[in-house]
Amino acid sequence: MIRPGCRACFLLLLLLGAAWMSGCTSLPPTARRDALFNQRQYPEIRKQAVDDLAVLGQYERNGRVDGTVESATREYDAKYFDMAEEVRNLAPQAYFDMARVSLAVGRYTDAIRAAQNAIGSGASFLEGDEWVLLRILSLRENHKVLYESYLYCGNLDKAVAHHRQYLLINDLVNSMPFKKVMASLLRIRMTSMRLRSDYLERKAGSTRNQIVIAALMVAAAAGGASNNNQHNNSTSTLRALQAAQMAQIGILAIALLEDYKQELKAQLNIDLAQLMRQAADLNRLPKPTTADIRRAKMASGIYMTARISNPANTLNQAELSDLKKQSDQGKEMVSLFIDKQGRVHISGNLGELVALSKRIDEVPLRLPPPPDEGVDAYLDTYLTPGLYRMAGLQMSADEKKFFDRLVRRGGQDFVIDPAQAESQIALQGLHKMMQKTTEFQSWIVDR
Amino acid sequence: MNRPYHGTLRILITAGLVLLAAGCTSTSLTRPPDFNRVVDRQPSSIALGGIQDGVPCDDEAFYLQKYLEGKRIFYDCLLADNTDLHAYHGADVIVSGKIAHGGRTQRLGWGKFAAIITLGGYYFLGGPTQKQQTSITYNFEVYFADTGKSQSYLFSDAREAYFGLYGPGINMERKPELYEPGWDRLLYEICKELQSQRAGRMP
Repeated sequence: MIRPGCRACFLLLLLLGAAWMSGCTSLPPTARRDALFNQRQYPEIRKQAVDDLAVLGQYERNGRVDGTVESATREYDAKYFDMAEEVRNLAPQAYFDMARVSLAVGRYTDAIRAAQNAIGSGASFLEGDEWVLLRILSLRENHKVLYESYLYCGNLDKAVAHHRQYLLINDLVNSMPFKKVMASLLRIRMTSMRLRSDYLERKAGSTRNQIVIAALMVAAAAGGASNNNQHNNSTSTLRALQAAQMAQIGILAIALLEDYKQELKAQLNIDLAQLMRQAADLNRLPKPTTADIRRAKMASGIYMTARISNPANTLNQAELSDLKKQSDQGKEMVSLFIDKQGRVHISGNLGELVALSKRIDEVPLRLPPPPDEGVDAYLDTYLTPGLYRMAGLQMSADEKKFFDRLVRRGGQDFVIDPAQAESQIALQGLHKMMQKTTEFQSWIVDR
Repeated sequence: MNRPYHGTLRILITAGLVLLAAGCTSTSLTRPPDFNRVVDRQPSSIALGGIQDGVPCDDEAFYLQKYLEGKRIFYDCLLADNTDLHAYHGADVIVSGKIAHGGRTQRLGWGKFAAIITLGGYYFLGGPTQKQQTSITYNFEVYFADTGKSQSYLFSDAREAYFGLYGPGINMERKPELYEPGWDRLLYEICKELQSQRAGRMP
């Protein structure tokens, strides 16, 4: 016989377990990785995102997003609306997280590829009417990443094309109809979560009862059998009721979005389907106009910094001439040689190269402030693709620390062993310094 | 002679043979004998172009990038822009390719029979009841910036496993570890080629 006190504890533990399993207290992957991004824990985000991509193999086998999907961290049942949203957004979100992490650490081509994949996977997993809002948000954030990445790679045309798409979708997201439909969708999502937790709680309860009854059947067979039948019937009735409620949720979400699309058409004259189709067709984005180029450059961090900079801190002609003279000698400052063991030997004046690199890093931050009129001429003169490429080659904090340490040690010859953990930092830093000097030389010629 | 002793010995030998047969696995793509000597530090940057596989997204390239970064053979491993592989990065090596993966599983009639006649003893000892065959074909195209030439590499990995309750002894379908032998071989070929190219440039 089970004591009443122990029975109550057991029931409480089961209820807690059901509530936990229902996902009420668990955060979606997006929320977890947002927190990590704010803490700058980029390797951890990348690891989680790459692990989440393993679900793609399941879609290949099933051929569609349906049923139960296992990711590296949890299981998703796609018949619940809120879980279906999460599981469909798993791959696009994983790609986007990798894109923003790569952008944050200056790996622009990685960011470009990941953002392109995010948009591509959004096209396949978020194509239904119910997922339109998720798709819009995904397009907006990925176009922003593509804009910045192409900008710092020096490809102005592609950067401006993506910036244009970003602005179009951003206007949509900031509109009142969008915010209203997001609020309604949140209520739908919460209803689905409540239904799921309710169902799981009752299922856990009915499972516990079945266990108790099966134990009692060992002692008194006849009474337990009839009780067991009753519980089976109630579980299947519950399942049917849940299925009806979940179907209603799906219909409600689609109806809500249909209203939203009609409102957009009537109030803002936007055909949502066409806008999204255009934004997702990366190979056929409309050619940017002069106004688009101006807007994209003025939205960049370098322009914003120039606007608020102190005019007394601007680089003057003498400083620029001095920098030009130094950069002309840049290629002869150091020489590299790789030995049979794969070790890299650097000889020359590394200290001078590091100092030149630091001065070139300051150039995008010490531009003259833009005038109130004639901004186009200013943008054409200073904010060229070469300047953005230079700005994109800024050394990371680890690279600066490494080279400062080497320079403080002194000497003319250094050996870097690629087997060492810091070798990647060293070689990437060297590569950036040399490339930056080349970019500066071509930029300064036009001043 | 002690009959119970003989009986116990026979049972133990039979169980041992069943256990031995249970984990029979084979894989055709093994490491070359001079792998450790050839795969050594190569201070170059490697970029990954499109790596096509059965899934309509770029996951193999991300896994391969993670694998190569873990090996610390190259100083940089990044992803190339799919629209223009050579743009933006100045990589020494660019890898593109295709990985095709297929397989089948069949139940062994004799295994089921053995499980029945031993009342499940054969099954719980891990005696084989299934045969799984997996084939993976790697077709890589590697561009070397120093010579400006591309080379193609084609590898096949045919795996076969007989297993029962406790699963196969080797990875038959779990990505990305499944593809590591192919990536090992690719790394070996790239390092061999780079060493041969650089040997020509040594002072």
